[in-house]
Amino acid sequence: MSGNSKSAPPGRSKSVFIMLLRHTCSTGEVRRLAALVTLTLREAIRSRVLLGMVGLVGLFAAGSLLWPGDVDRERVILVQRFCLGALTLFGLIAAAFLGGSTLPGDIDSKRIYSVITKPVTRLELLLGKALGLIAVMFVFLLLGGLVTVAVTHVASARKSYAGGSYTLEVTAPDAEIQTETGPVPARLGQELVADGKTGTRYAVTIARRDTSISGTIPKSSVELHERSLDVLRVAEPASLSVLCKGRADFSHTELLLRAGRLAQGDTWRFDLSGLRLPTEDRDIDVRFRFTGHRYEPLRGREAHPRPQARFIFRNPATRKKVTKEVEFVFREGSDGAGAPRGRSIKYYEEVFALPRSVTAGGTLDVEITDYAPAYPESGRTYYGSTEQPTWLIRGFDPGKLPQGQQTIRARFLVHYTRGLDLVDHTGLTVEVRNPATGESKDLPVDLRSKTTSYIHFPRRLIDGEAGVEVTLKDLRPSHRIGYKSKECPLYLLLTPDSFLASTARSILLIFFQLSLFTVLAAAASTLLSAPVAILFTMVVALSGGVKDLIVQGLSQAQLAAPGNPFVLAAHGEATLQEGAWTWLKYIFTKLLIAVAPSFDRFSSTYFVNRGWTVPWSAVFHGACYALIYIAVCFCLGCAFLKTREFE
Amino acid sequence: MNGETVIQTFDLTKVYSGFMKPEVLAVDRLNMQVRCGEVFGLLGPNGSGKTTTTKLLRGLIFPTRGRAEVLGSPAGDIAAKEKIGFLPEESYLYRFLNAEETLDFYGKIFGIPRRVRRRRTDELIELVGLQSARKRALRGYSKGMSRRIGIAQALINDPELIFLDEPTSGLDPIGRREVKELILRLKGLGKTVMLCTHLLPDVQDVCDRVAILHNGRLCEEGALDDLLVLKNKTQLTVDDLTEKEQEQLKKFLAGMGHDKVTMTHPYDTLSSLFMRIIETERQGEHVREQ
Repeated sequence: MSGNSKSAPPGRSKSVFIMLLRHTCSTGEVRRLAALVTLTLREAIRSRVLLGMVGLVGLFAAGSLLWPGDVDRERVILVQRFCLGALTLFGLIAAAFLGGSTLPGDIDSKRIYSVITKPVTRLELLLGKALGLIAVMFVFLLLGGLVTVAVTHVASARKSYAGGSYTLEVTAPDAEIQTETGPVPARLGQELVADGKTGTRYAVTIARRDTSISGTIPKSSVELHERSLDVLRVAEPASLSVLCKGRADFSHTELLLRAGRLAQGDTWRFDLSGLRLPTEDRDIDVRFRFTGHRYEPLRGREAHPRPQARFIFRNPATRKKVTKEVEFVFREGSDGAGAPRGRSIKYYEEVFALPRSVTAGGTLDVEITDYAPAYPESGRTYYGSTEQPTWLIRGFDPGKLPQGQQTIRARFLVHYTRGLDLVDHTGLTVEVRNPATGESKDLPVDLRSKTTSYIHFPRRLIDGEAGVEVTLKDLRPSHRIGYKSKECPLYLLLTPDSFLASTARSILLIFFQLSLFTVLAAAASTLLSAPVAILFTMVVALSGGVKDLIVQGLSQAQLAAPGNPFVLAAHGEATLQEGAWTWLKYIFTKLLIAVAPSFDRFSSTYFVNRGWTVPWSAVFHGACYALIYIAVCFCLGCAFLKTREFE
Repeated sequence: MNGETVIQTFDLTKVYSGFMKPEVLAVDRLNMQVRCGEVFGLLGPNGSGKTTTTKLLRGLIFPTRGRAEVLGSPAGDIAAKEKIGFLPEESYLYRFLNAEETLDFYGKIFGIPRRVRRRRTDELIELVGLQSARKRALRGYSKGMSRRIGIAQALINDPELIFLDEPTSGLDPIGRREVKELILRLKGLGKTVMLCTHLLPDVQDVCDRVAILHNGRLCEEGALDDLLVLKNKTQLTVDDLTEKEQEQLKKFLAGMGHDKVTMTHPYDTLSSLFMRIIETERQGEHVREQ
């Protein structure tokens, strides 16, 4: 007998699965649900609601092509925004109207008599209707998505879509800008700043891919404003430094020196003639101030170091010299003399007590050495794609690298979708290699729950001439990963995945959003009349979209109102009862906020408006979020419908 | 099976109430029985509680007090609904569907396999005479056609119990006769039919038993023959008598002590006259065509 034992035929498991599937599909419940879903979908198609919705989206999308735009990429993004916005808007209206009216419509027209008297439970009826409406939304978004892709394709086909828009602002009157592919199609001569001291700024727009800029821009500050995610390589300028012009003011016994920006090796000469300095031979406070933005240390993360410098104050007349090492303090507010009335400025400041002998006379030279800014003021910017994760970074000025250190600290920036807690940051690995010696090292970068991480390049891996080769491993296409070195400013921007895939994921997000609103409207209609259910859905949808604003408003109103008993109680200026009451209100508000849905999580515009792509994690998160709320709405709807009488 | 109770109510009471609305007693302690295989008529003037009673029996509304059993299960039970067919007062159907799709939809609701569904669809469309309009959307149907498709959907599951609410309303005399014949045919197949109608001649033609409601209360229930028969009167129908023969017959009956004798020619019903004329016309057309 044992010899007759048969092995299972290869197709057996498959046939068992098919039998199981057939059995499941052939059960009465599934058939009834399928019938109700088909009926709802058929109704939407035959009543031309679906056609109307898609037609409106197409009309909006076609209209967006008429929008003026100089740059291809901007136009494409604009068209994408328009189409996705139209899909969301019309989908929301359709979800509210279809969901809110399908069940009341059946009840009012008494068609429900012919269904509910058949072997259909009320739960099956609501589930079938809800699934049918979700199917309507799916078909709508499928067709609308095709319209979006088609219109976007038309928009991108008008000009070369690969172009990008970049503005190069040059603070130099004699800037010469050449490109490898010919003259830059620039709009020159636009005077942006005219204070007479910082020179004239020119705006240069580069509209083609692979355009590189080379040339000498002496004594200029270059700022690159990235407007899109496309590829742009900016060739290394010969030298970049900050042109600083000093200005001195006298106020009582203070001498205020102000500078635009600060750079290592700057030498400034302040003209002190004409100033009525005190006659007494005593120290004079010299307040040194330069403008700049502080990069706020985020909560729980490493704080940025404060800028440091060595100042040498020298009086050419008396040949007296004072050396001060300082660590600047960041301040914010009006500086009285320079800032417009009522306008706040941000600056770093340090006050030096200089002897009278140094400040006497007509001039004061200030030399700044060993300047270590908290954040790079300017630098070379590289943009790349995921296809090119390896970069050879050259042009290190060994003199500018920190001396006497074994490592050089570099900062990694990871830009991801803030507010999405489920984003999985597993970190990545950076391989640093010295091209001259071939020596390399893998440096792990832990990005879990961080946007910023520091790594330390071994000093020996950075060669003054050959540079350093940096390879980013374990890249996540949905993340934008940047690398910025403190001393050698460098920024790598890795392009996310394709535009089309991102659009598809955006539409998926909208689908979950619309599914939720559909079920919400259908559930509401089990208790409310059709117009009220539609209105209710619209109000919830709109208020959910601005939940953050409401949250902010409530929080501010609860906690920051003047004379708030909570605040007073904290300072011992209110009774315990008042404090407790305020606490109660506070907790209630927090609960309300926690329960209220925030539809920002579904919003594709949240990503699109920022020029980001929609990651899969956001779609997954949106799906989970929608399913939870759909389940809650459905249970409530069933509870209401179960007790409802059809008179 | 015949003679078993299919529908039974026990002190069935329904009071409509609502917020800021006065209470309305629609059905008051109703106790009635419908037996298997009979055609039962539920009669009563407007507002007597007929519709409320049928809604209670179909589970559309819930009783305030008492209970009802349909096919041995509580009213509204899903298992029992599989054996019930229902024709509403108006044909409240999905008007964007055509006849085939309508029957297919309700067939799916009953979980009927596709092959059986198709066969029954064809049979029922032929039964109600909608072959030429089977592909037309219901929104284009006349009232009579809507009633026909309504009847067809009520029979899609080959039900044991059929609720018919005003089945002949909107139909022409031929259609009414066909529906009545259909009801009798269903009865012949052992089905139970519960009929709600204002058209008393229809009830008289097809019903075995009736219940008469008034203000939600059951006033009378019983077999139609028992209720209608005038036991103190005798009707004699003879072929045409001459006046002389009539006089002789009166004298003969007077001799037996029956003084109150009425002799007259009986009237045909308008319905029978109409049917006779239409039938004659149709036969003439048929002969001319040949």
